[in-house]
Amino acid sequence: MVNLSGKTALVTGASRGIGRASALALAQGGAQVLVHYGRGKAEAEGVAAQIRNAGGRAEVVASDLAAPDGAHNLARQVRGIVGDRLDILVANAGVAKSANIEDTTVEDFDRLFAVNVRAPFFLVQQTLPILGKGSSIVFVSSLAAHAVVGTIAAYAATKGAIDTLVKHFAAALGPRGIRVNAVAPGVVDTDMSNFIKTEAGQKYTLAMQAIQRLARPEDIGPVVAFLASDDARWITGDTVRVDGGSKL
Amino acid sequence: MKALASTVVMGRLGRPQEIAKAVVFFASDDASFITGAELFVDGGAAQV
Repeated sequence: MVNLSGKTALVTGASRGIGRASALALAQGGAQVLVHYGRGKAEAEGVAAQIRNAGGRAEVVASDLAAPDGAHNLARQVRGIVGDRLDILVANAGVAKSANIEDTTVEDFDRLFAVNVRAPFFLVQQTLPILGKGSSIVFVSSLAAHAVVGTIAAYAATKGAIDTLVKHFAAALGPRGIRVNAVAPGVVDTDMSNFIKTEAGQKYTLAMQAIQRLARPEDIGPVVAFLASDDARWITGDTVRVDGGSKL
Repeated sequence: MKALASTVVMGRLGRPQEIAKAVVFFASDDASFITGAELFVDGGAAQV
């Protein structure tokens, strides 16, 4: 386990799934965690309570990241809590929608890009004044950015955009001592994935994986915590696959 | 050395301990769902 004591962290979409597991892993390492949610107020408060009950520090922050000013609004709240120093930014919040090409609507497409791409971009922009030497940004990409898994072209394109941002942000922020990476999970058993709830989906997932079990959010959280930590201080601009050896 | 460091995003050369930390992570249970993957520990040199 990594040592994150004395560090401040923001995890977006931390009420459930991979965000929740990331928040818990960071807190376990000793970081103070700002648990962001868009809609899951009760769940987010539960995550914060779980961190505090284990002796950690956590605050809950709310913002609708589908809104044009959602990232700006969130960054303002974060600065109000942590002051002038954010060590870890985990831009995890995302939405998914499974649809074939014909059934993808403009509204769905725009919402996917608003939450999955626009919000992380502007969250980095708006928190830059309080990020500095030693800070680490972790995005959540997806196996879908590079391999075809289900009928999720628009969603997959948002994750391809994240991989591109990782490289450009890493190059731009490296000279300031800020690292930028992503994790790329495969199919994970979360509320977001309807695919894994079906028998066909489970069968497909196991057939493409080297490791013969389904992934849980707890498989991803510790990898996010590692990338966020000083143990990963020579890693930047990379997207780390955490997919049980999918589509090798 | 200086020319080499200028090709690295982080603006310096890496240290053995920095590679070791990544090796230990990959060997640990924290990486229990990672297999068949490469992890670049290069200060961004080949990543951007």
